[in-house]
Amino acid sequence: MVFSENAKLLGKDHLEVIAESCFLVVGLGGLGGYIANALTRLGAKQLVLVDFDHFQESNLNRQLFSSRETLNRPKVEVVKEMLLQINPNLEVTALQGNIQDYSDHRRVVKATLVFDAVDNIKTRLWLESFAEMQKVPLVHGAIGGWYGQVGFLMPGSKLLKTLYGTKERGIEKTLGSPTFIPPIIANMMVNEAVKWLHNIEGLLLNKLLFIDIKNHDYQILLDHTK
Amino acid sequence: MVKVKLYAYLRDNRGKEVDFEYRTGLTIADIAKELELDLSDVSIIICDGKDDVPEKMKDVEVKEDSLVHFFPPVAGG
Repeated sequence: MVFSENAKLLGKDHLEVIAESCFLVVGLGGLGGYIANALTRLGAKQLVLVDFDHFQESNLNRQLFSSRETLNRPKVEVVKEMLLQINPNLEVTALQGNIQDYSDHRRVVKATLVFDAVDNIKTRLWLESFAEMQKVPLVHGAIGGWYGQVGFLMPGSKLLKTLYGTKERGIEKTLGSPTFIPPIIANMMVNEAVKWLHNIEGLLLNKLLFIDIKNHDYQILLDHTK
Repeated sequence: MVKVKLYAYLRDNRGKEVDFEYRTGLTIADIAKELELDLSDVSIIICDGKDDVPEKMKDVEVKEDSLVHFFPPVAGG
């Protein structure tokens, strides 16, 4: 059976469990492409993708579905096509635009898990409020240079509000996003979602894990479970 | 001794951890100044388990055995 390799680790009911979830991936930059890819290969059935942008040359260093052929095409459209090549039975909704404009879209409000893969603080804070309003968990991930962070945030944790405060820009504006950091952080985000869905221990519940792949330093920086 | 932990590029030329000699009245702003850290580059400061934005933490006086973390905003996607 397709994707059944995952069941060796995750159990016989894995495909049933993942099929019940509707994943909302907001942002299809470095993180979002790898997240959408991983969710599809895990056997997800329902996916909603949101991004306003088109693929550009500057994306080629790190964005999974960017290529010479897909330049200038809307990311949501390209990623949808590629995912359907992996699983033609995937129910994938591609929404081109800002997430704020789709906040009452019937597929968006149906999401059971939201992935925060956007590239700006303002939208991240909006997503934290949106997930709280929808009463669904938010899988947070962010990157910049050698560094990244991941957390699995339940409604009401307000961890991002605490973390970013009144900041408007992050270190990535200076350090950039090298080829190797997005797949690491994106797949760690998916890993947290899998643990949540299967009730597996070790979830970064209302915690923020700091990841420094330059010095190999990984530590939980914020813990809002207390 | 006050232990200070730095994250991401704040570690450049400063290291991951710096020990500070404690003195009465030593504030987080004093530590940042001695480390030549611009608080506008810092997203959150955690001192002995309490976390908040730099504006609210800068005047906090540390204790003899405090642990202070300075963390910059990471927001790329």
